[in-house]
Amino acid sequence: MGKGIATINYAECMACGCCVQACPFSFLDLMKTDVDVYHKNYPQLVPDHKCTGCGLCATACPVDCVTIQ
Amino acid sequence: MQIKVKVYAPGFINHDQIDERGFLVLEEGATLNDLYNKIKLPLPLRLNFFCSVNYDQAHWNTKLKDGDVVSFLFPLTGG
Amino acid sequence: MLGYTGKILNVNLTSGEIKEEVIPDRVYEMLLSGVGLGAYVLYKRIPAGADPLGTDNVLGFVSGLLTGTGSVITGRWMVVCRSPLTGGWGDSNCGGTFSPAIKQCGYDGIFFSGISKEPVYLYVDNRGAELRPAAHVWGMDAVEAEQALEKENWKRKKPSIAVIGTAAEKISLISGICNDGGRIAARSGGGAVMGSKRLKAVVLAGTKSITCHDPEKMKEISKELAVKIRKQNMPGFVPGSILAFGGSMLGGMKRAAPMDGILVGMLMKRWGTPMNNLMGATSGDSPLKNWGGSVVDYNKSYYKNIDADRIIKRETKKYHCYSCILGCGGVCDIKDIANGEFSHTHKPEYETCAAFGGLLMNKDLNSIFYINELLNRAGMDSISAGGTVAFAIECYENGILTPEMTGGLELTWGNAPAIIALIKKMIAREGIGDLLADGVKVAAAKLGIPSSEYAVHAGGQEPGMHDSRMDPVLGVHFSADPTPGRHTIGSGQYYDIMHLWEQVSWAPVSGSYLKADEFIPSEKVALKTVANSCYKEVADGSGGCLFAMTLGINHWKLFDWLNAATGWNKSGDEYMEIGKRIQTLRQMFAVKHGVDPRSFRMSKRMAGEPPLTEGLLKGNSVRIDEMMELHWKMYGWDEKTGLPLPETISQLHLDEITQGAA
Repeated sequence: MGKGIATINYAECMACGCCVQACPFSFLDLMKTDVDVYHKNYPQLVPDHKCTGCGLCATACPVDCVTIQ
Repeated sequence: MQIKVKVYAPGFINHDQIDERGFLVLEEGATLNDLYNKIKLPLPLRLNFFCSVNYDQAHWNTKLKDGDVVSFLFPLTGG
Repeated sequence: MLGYTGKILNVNLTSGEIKEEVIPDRVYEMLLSGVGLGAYVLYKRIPAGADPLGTDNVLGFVSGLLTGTGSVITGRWMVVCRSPLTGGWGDSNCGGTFSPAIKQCGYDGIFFSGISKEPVYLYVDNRGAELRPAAHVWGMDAVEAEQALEKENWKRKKPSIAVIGTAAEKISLISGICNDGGRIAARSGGGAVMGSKRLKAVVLAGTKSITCHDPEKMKEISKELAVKIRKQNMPGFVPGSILAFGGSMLGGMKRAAPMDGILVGMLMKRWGTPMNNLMGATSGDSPLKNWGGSVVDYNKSYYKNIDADRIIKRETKKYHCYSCILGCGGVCDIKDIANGEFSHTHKPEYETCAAFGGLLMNKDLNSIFYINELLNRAGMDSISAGGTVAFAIECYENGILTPEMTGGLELTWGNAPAIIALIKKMIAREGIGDLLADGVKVAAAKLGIPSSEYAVHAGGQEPGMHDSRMDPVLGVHFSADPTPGRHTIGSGQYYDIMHLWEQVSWAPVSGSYLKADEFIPSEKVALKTVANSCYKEVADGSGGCLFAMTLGINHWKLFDWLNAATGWNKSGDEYMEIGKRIQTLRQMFAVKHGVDPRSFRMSKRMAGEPPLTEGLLKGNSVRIDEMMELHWKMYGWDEKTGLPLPETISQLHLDEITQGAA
């Protein structure tokens, strides 16, 4: 861990928000709405984030679509 | 050879050939259309998005194999 | 490493004392977390007959056992208390992000007793918990207060906040507890209990990890489901009006058969719960004109106005609760209606649309948007509020309420401006609003016997917007459950779609069957209602959502997840036994507090006594007394009184875990 920042694979992401809730700094937010036709809000790092790459979001993701890269 | 598929179809279609656990027996090589005919599915419900084979929306000429799950969209209400 | 934390937090608001308590593993094994844990704590701690609005009532916020463990659609939190509305067991559940937040603070539940002298809120983070003054947010609506508290407490992590609005501050018995900008745990009157304790909010900012026994297995099951849900997409060209057609097919159907719930996912993803707006009207599912009308009255010229397409057109984005992969909610910006502008508001759900649409013969969708916003902010239950307005309209129509009493409001069917004005009065408890702010049962008691005919409720709780004359199984849950009037416990269609028989040996297999058979009381139908309610309690112990339950047990694999999260190796039958235990404990709670279960029987109108004379449900009546008896009998409760039998209590080992109760 610590080798990079949270990176989301939107092809697999279900927008469930588990990673957002797991982030101890709230650097992730459900704000990306251009992924699917429903305008579901997908997680994204907030603009002024200081992601530490701690990996808690990746651990929390139920479908393993968050990685630290 | 015969194949057995699981069918989840609305109550108004013909269930005579579907057993209590929801299985229907078809000849090997049967397509979705053969199944439609067997359960006498009304024509308007034969649109692609009403029917899935193994949870993929399926075309009427999809070939069925043993163990497939054929499900129809039907609205949920009540409760 | 068992999915649960094994600890709860007890807060005494009178003395200000805050204490952790360790809960033995055996309690979780017998009752799970969530509602089961809540029932355990409340049964033991609340003395018999304690005033629901007094110091002895305990208000608990509990998280589900599966919340945060890598499972999906298991992120609901529950509020538990002795209900001031029914006098018995009270619980209500809600989505949002509050459920994981409880566990991230290191607890499975937070329980409040006593009454604070001044308004306070509880703040919890990794370092501990403290009560803080809340005078500055007292009087604010739920959304304003949440925003203010969020700003104040957002240090590193955005806090999750459960908060009451002004209705609960004024102890309206039909008020609930809100989170996430107007999502509300509305039923059972939990808001009034929180208001009576002068507890404005609970603010949680913990960041502890939630662990479980086998995270890999948890994710494996989640992925399997995610693949199926991802494929469920309704083509864009299909109009919402098709739902009216679907409803009329459903309503006209003589036979029913098990369906595949996964496909319903495409309706949920596209429209969310308003998919039932048209379907409910045309199938007979939505009660119309205070349960006295039919689709002949609320015809197409009315119901076309509440088309789900008209609602999702207003959505700026979808809303989904924590861990949900369906995402049935929606966030709207409303800028073009006469009642004012509001942004970032939750769209009206089906229950709200039906309660303020067909139930009141209202065809003005804009008024529904506005009322939804008013109620979400005030923190008032929209089902109960709609039911109460319908009651008021019928009283007005029959001369029980006069223009002098209503302050000049013309309470006629579908009179949207008058309905809005009445809702505002109810929220503020002004004039006639004060009489109506506690629901139909209290209002009918004040107005006298002639009005009770128009008071549609079960045990004091206004019923959900689904008609028991269409689905008698629903009527059993309305009448024979410890939380009466609840539409989420089960129904015939839910049973058919959940496929419980695949994993539970005693759950009857639903093949294709005649719908008329469900109207005949039988042990088979009773087994269905028992299975429905046992399964619901397991889901409520796990934090599961009703819309996940309706995906079917072979897709949303609740029992497999529970085994993977805890390391237990229990079968479906054993989990259903846990459900039965939770349900029996909830019933024991009601009985302990002096509730006669027979008094929860739904109003005559809901049972079709007399039956409707036109529409789809013409002539339908439900033999509810016999069905309740059979339901209780199959539970191992006394069939005449609904009291759990001593042998059932000891067989479920409930005598053992309730030892030493207050």
